[in-house]
Amino acid sequence: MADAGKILFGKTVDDNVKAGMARVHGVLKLALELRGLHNYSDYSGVNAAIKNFNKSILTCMQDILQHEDVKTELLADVPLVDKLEMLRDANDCLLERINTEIDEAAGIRREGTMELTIPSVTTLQARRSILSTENESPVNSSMILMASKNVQKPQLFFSETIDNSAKTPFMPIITEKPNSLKPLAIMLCATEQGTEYYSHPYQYELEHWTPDLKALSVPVEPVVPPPLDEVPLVMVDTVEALQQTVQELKLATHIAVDVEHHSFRSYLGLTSLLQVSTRSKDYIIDPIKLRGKLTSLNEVFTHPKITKVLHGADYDVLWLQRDCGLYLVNLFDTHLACVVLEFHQRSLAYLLNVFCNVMADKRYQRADWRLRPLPRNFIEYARQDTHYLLYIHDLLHNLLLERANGATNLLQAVYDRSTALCLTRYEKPVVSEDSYLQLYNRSRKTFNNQQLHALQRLYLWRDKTAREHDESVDFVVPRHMLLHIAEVLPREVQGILACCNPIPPLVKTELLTLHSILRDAREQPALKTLERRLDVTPTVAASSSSTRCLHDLSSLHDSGSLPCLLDGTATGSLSESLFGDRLIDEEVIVCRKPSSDLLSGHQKIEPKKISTSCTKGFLSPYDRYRLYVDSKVKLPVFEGDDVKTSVQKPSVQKTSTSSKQVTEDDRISRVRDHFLSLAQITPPPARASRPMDADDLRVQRLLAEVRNSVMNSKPPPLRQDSDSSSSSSSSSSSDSSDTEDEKSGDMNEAVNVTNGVAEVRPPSSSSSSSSSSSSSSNSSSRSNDAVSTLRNESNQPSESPKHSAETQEIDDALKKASITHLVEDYSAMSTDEGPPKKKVKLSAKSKQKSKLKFRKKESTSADVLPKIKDDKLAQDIKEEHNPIIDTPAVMTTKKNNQGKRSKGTKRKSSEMQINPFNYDSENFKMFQISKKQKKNMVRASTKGRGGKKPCRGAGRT
Amino acid sequence: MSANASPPIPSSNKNICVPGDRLCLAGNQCHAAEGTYIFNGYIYASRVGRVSTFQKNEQTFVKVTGLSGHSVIPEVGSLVTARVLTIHSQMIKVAILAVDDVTLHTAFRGMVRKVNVREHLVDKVEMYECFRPDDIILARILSLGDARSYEMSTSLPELGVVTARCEEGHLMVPVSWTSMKCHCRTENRKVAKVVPPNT
Repeated sequence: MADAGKILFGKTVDDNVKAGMARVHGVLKLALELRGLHNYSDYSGVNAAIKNFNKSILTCMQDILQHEDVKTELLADVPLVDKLEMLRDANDCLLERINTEIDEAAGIRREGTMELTIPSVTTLQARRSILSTENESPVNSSMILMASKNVQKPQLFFSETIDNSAKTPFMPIITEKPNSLKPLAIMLCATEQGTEYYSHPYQYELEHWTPDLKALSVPVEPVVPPPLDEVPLVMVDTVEALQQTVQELKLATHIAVDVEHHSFRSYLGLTSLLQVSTRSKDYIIDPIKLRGKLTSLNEVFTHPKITKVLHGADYDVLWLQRDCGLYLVNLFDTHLACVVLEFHQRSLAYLLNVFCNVMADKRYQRADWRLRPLPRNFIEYARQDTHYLLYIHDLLHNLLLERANGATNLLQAVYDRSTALCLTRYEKPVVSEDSYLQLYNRSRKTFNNQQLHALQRLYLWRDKTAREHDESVDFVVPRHMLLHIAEVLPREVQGILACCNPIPPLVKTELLTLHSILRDAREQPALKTLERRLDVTPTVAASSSSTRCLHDLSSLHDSGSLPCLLDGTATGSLSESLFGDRLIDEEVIVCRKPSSDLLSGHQKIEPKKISTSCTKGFLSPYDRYRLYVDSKVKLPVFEGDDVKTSVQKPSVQKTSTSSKQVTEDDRISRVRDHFLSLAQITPPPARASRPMDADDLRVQRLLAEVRNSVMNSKPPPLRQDSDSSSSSSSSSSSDSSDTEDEKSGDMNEAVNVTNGVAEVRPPSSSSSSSSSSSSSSNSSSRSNDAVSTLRNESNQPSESPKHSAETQEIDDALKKASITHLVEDYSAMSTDEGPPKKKVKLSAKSKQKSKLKFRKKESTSADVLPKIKDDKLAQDIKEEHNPIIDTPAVMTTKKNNQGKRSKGTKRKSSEMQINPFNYDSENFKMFQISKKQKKNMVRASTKGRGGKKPCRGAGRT
Repeated sequence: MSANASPPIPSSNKNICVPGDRLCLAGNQCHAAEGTYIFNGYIYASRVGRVSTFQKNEQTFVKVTGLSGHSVIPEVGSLVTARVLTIHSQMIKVAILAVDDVTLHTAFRGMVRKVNVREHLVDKVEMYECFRPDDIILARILSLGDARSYEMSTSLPELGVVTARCEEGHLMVPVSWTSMKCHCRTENRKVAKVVPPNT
């Protein structure tokens, strides 16, 4: 290129480049100058073009926004910034709308606000949605039209407030009574159960109305109804039109009536449409718009000469009473006619199909009839319901006559039943505490205590909420969701929501209430025993209609005065009954066989005396259980108050000595004693792992207090006593801690720990003496000598008045842990004579105080004595002169008394003493292990608790 | 309707009735319980048996109980009295003699598993330290069990052995909740916390 350049221009390349660069620079300079827009504004052509574009764009935007119904003034002569602002607003508006549409599509729109803000739009949409389902209907014929979402609740516009509460009974709303035989009188009556209700206004008229059978006995000529489009349809939604309708209806002899009802968005339900047909005209009356004004229709509806034809009027009668104040006289229910004629299908659709060859579209039955204005297909369906009904009535009438061979009895039956139907009164639904059981029993689920509790509370909550918000209970929470929530019992709020799909709106708002209900239910104790469901006795319903009853009631007409088996006034002897006196209660007589004296030459016991004492108090195991359970209710505290027993003792003694009659209280107190003793003997199983209970703490505190006070008053003599005494005291205490159950073991340990001077026990202090006396009473059997030496050394201050009260208290507390006392009790229980003497002997060895204590016990054992009626045992005891029956404690005492005072024997005896008190098999085994092993085990077990006990053990060895 | 023909019988607890006997007016004073039905405003008997009235929740009920009195069967949760038959390491077998307060005509078979003997220290239960053959025990029905026997439990303080004899046949009395005693020996039992027999 360079060479070519050289050749071409005759200049050097550099020159060319330089020149080119200079030009490029110039162009760039110019381009930079031309960059800003303002430079173009100099040209009028550019300006005009820009303006044109601007305008067209703005107009386009304005058009779009206008089309979307957003009000903006983009074309106004305002600054650009303001226009941008306007555009942003418009965009926001559009986005908002898109959001709502999306929400609507997703089904999570808050309808309350929507209902109140833009009702027209929503109604339109509701209709559109129904129309869309209508288009799909040929494909999906089982489609059910449920309540449309965005229909405004008509209740909001009612002049009167709707009373959903069940407190006041339903009050008939009519103010005048056309076609009356008796003047209008609505009385407040009460049922047998005590619930109040208002009487039926037309009761008298209905009871005295009879069909004109002569006229009815003639078969009617069926009038084939003309096609729907040839019959005029009158939409009645004004008072004037209603008056006109009433006048026209009065002229007819037969009218067909049907009612459409809405129950999803109203607690009591709402009569939404009333269709009436004569032979020549169809009327569709709007009860929502004409609410409170429809009573004028009563002139026709209660007219005895005008026959009202309805199909399945059971509920229609009630709905008409409730919302319109309309009552029916002279009703012909085609459904009941089908029943009398024994058709196998009785639905209106079947009748229409068979008689009129019309395929009824029953999908509309559950449509939202609150919708206004009514869509065309709704109206058609509504007309169809009544349009053919008169023709069906004619055919059925003739069939009934034909079936009865020209007689009118079947017709009479239909009219009778229809009249009975008219007599039913509307009553508000009442919900009681047990209403949930119906739901529960129908669900066929098995709930535990907690779930049932939850279900009950949820059920009541649902009813309350529904009444408050005037919604149906199924709108609040559908049945299956309620059962599901009660079954799952979700712990968290999210769990509740997870149970519902879709989530009902009222569940969302009342989530916290629901949660608290479920939390309460979870806190309920889970009972092991299943609560039986309510027993329902089979009841044979005596039908009011005599033609339908299966039973021959001809003999029962004078109801209320028939002779009964349980009549108190009836007289007669038992022999008159079917079985005569062959079935008389056999009395259970329990008597003891006199024991044979073949094998034993022991003394006999008067058999007569035994049998009386035995039969008198025979209690089956179940009775004993019941008595225990009852007494547990009466005396909730069985353990730990000795004062009460000692107070009650004199009375027990008195009654037992004075007479054999045993009062309830005495028995309970005696039982209580029995349980106390047994419970004290049995060591609680999991004591070691459990923290100390209140008693232990109390004992510990008291001991510490006493000790402190004593130490303050008198300085402890710190091991200044003789070696023998200290060793004996330590050995006694260690022995006691070995032999006592865990409780007292804890206690001793507690004493040691609180004081911190386990080894340095002041033997002369009152607390020491009291504790050692208690321990001596526990272990008096095996360490009498040691204790007595200890006592001899420390006898003076124990009776000091200053501490006597406290020591007494401690004694009381320790008494519970005391074993000997109970063993004595038992031996007193089981033997007749021996033990007290022996015990007195034993106690004579101990100190005066323990003697005092013992006397008290003696009295208790004396109380127990007469109660022992186990004659066999008593006999055996007498035979053996009780050398063996002694408790181990006594046995060991004997051993000690025999002079075997080596430590080995002592410890052996202590182990022996464990035996009756061991609780489980482990202890039982322990009893059998050798001495050495046991010591090791004790050490091992105490090592975990603190360093004191092993120390003592070491000192002992 | 035999009701019309039946002669009046004085009101007592020994009333015998046959099905169809009119017992009394149904209503607030009297409610129908087992063995009866309500018809036409009256309570009628639906079985042969004794008519009796009882109070429950301050209301009077009329019931007809069978003459032999063995129509009752153990249900889940009912309290039964049983006799121990055999002892295995894992369970005992018993004969159920009475359900609640009704003595049975023929005994049902039941068993108590080791885990259901008591509430605490379940692992350390030795069946032979809790029951011996021929003991009379109180137990609660846990479940209907298998085809052979009801499953029962004694794991409450008030359930367990109520009456027992020692090896030599002497009647024993409880000395603690775990042991019973006669004059010759002490034996271990799972003692029921019930009222002593002779109070």
